[in-house]
Amino acid sequence: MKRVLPAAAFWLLVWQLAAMAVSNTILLVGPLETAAALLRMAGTAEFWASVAGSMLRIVGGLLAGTAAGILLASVSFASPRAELVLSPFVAVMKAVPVASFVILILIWAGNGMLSFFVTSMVVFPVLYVNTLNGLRSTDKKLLEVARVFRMRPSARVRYLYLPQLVPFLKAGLALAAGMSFKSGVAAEVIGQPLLSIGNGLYRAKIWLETADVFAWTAVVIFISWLIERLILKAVAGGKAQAPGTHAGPDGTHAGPDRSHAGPGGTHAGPDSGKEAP
Amino acid sequence: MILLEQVSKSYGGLKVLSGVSLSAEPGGRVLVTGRSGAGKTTLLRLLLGLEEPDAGTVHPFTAAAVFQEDRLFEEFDAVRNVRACVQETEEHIREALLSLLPEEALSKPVSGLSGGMRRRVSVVRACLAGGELLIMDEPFAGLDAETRENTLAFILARQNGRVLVISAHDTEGLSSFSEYRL
Repeated sequence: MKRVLPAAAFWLLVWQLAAMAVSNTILLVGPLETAAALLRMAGTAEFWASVAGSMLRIVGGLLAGTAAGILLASVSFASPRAELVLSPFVAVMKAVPVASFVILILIWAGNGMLSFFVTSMVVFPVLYVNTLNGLRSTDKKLLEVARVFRMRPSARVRYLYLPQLVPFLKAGLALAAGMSFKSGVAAEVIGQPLLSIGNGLYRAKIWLETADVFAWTAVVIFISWLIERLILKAVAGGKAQAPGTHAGPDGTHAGPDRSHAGPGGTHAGPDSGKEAP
Repeated sequence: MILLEQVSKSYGGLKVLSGVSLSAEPGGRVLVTGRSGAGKTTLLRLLLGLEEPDAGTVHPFTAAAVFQEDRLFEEFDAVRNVRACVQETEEHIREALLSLLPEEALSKPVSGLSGGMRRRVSVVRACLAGGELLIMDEPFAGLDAETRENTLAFILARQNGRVLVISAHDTEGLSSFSEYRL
């Protein structure tokens, strides 16, 4: 944290100087104007209701997509036939643009739970692929141990699969947490549900309140960071390290630092399966 | 008990075992010896049902094993490692481990233990597990003479009527075993 603060201060200074150079609050506002807008907005009940509403829907979608991804990946791992059936569905979920999801859900279900459904659809394939890769990376030598010692299914899960899976889940969740807020808020901007961050952003754009746009964006970044931290702590007590990650079909990377995060199929973790002698 | 009958096994055209037969009385002790690459590990893996023979019959028996590598659950301590594979109380497991390991070795993840300590954890795991066969691939690898002696005594004391099959380069102290040379 101590090392990050000077870098953050440097970029805030660059931002402020750029705003001063542009000198047009419609085109670009600086961090001071953004902070002022945030303070003004935070004094209204509407702001907090919007933040709470968006958070509930997006985090709900994140959890639902995560649960579905882990569950169906486990089914695919256990049954090659199930994987064969699911693979076209997962491929489609990875490839469909967020905008198409938004429009389809608006047609099917209206805008009330729009960000919930969009988020879960965006998160699902990430967790599906990462969970499946994690399960497949289970050490084959330890699988032989489980077979010889006739280990109980619960012991196999605890001692074999979970330790292998946790780093992959962490990598997937780190990516999914960021993607969920990006896609969820984008959906809200299009769908305009009342009392939502997306609605606030849209209204700020209509009134050319650029400071409000920056303030809402800062709120999304903060919530996304907070949720990511909370989820990763919940997964493994913040101990296990996410493994190195590989590029997905669309060239995106699911890594612990999310430096190359993007929508689409992602593959996390090295293949640690080892050959039996 | 007939364990193997006229078993052959090749890897990529290289014949490792040819017409191997092996039998033992319940509670019997077999020492498998041979030069490196003679097929000792392959023979033990066949006994464990982890390899299919190209020819011959492997009779299926339940087993516990010390593998060529330790094959421990790295993030867990010694007690958890044994408990994962054994239907015994934690107290009993701890007691067995303490007869081969110092107390401080029991409370940390096995990834932090020395090679010799890890080997002994794997020996305890196999000895406390059930099954009709007790298969051990080089169980004394990395152990000094005194520790080897204690470990062998531990194994023999906990054989419990099972057929014990050990592969070893060093045959010292194993005169009570019937030798099968590959």
